Amino acid sequence: MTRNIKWTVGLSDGSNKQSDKGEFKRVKGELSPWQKLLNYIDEKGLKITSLALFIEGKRWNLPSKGNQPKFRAFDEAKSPNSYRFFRKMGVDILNGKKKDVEHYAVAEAQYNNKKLQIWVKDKEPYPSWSIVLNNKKG
Amino acid sequence: MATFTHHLQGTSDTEITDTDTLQFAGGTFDSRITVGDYNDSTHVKTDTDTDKSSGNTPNNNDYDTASLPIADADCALKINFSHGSSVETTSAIFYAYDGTTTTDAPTGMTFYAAEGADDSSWTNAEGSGSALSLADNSSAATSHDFYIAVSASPDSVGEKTGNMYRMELTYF
Repeated sequence: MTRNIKWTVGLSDGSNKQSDKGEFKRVKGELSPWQKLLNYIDEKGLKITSLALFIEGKRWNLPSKGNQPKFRAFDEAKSPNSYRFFRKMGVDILNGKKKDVEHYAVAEAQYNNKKLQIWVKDKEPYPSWSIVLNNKKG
Repeated sequence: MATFTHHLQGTSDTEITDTDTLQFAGGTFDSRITVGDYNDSTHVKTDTDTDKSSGNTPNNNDYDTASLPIADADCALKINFSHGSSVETTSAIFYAYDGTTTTDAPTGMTFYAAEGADDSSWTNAEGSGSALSLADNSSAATSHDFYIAVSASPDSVGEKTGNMYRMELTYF
């Protein structure tokens, strides 16, 4: 069964926001929660400092400047320049018939020349993949 | 919830449902295409082998004769993406493959696609590396339409089964 993986962000004013909660609730016909967030941070002059995906007790974190393990590797790791969330949908058509429809939630950390993406399939048991892409590719 | 709905356009649209088949044919429904030629007609065939689009004068896009760009209303395919929330779409792609490996070309056929009024040339959209790129919809909305001209030619005699076409997009 397809669910709806949510996002949570840390903002440069120290606050945390998440989709489907408060002012970022999903309301039919209104802007999507992420579009609402983009408008919010634009109006307030804020930046996203962390981004994670979560659902049903599972959580997938991107590198951030926020709370993280004490190990030196995390101290030395480069912090992303910016973050992005989006969803991907793909459909295969065999002889005109829908064969498979896939939905993924994607969290992206952007660096100078690269971007790190975590893809989580929006269906139990929520398999996930991480990929690194050149920044010029969509 | 995000959904794709596929239509064969004509004087009226014919929805291609999960049990229907999009048929490239010779001059008439169920007729064969000669090897090396391209489709002279396009139809929607039901699972009971009837011509679902017969009353709708379906559009046909022939790679050999079509003049590009093709107006959105004259494209064979209209794919609608809808969502309960208002979203933008980006990075949409469309291509055919062998049904198994997305980087491989379809087997035994040649496939071309073009995006309606935006494209002045065909894309040999075979395999993900050669996919047709579709324009972004940068204004958030609950519904976005993609108009795609499609044309196919058999490379050899015989029925071609197993090939698929695939559409992917990003939305937020």
